[in-house]
Amino acid sequence: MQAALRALNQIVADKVIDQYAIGGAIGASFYLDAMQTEDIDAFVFLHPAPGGLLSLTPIYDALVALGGTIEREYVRFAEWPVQILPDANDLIRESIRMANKVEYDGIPTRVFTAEHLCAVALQTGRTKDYLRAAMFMEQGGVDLERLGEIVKRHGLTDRFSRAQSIIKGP
Amino acid sequence: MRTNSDKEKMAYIVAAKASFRIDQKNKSWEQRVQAIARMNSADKLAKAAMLNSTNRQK
Repeated sequence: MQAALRALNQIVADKVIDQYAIGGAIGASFYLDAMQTEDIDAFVFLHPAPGGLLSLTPIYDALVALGGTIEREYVRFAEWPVQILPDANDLIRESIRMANKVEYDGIPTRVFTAEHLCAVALQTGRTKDYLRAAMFMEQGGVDLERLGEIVKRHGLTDRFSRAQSIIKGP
Repeated sequence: MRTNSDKEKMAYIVAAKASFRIDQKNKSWEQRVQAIARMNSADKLAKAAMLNSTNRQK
């Protein structure tokens, strides 16, 4: 994990990307009990290429130059494959922008806030994402008022209600 | 641990689960990520063992 975070910090310093933040299960494990995942989700602000096209190639090239190895859609650093996910919508952009500055084993990094992890899980909308959102709410890991504002702003109110119904039960 | 009744067994299970949850909550991010890495390693070993077993049966 350390090698992956150092490489991500380096590509920010080298201006390959503007910024990144960790989301997904690894991000969630900052706030909640460990949950199984095989990769690190790194959400990045992309520089548009000349002509306005967005490309992940410069990021992959830079990460390989820093010691990563390409495996399918991942760049592996030691035991951790990193998935680079672009800032595909307003919620992701807001999540990257408002991420918490934290440290992992002394290495500075950024993690989505608990409320944004929960909102992104609701937006992704797979069964495991609903369960993760429900875990956040059940374990008191989120500020429900703040989460309510985010889901309203991004049109996720119905999904939020569905996740709440998982906790309440039938 | 020896238990004599269903009530005692249930109390033991509840206490063990509560202890695990508290233990998880007190863990640092680094410890949680290491726990995930260990789970992944165990999964890989289990998958490899299953594959070997299947191949031997063929």
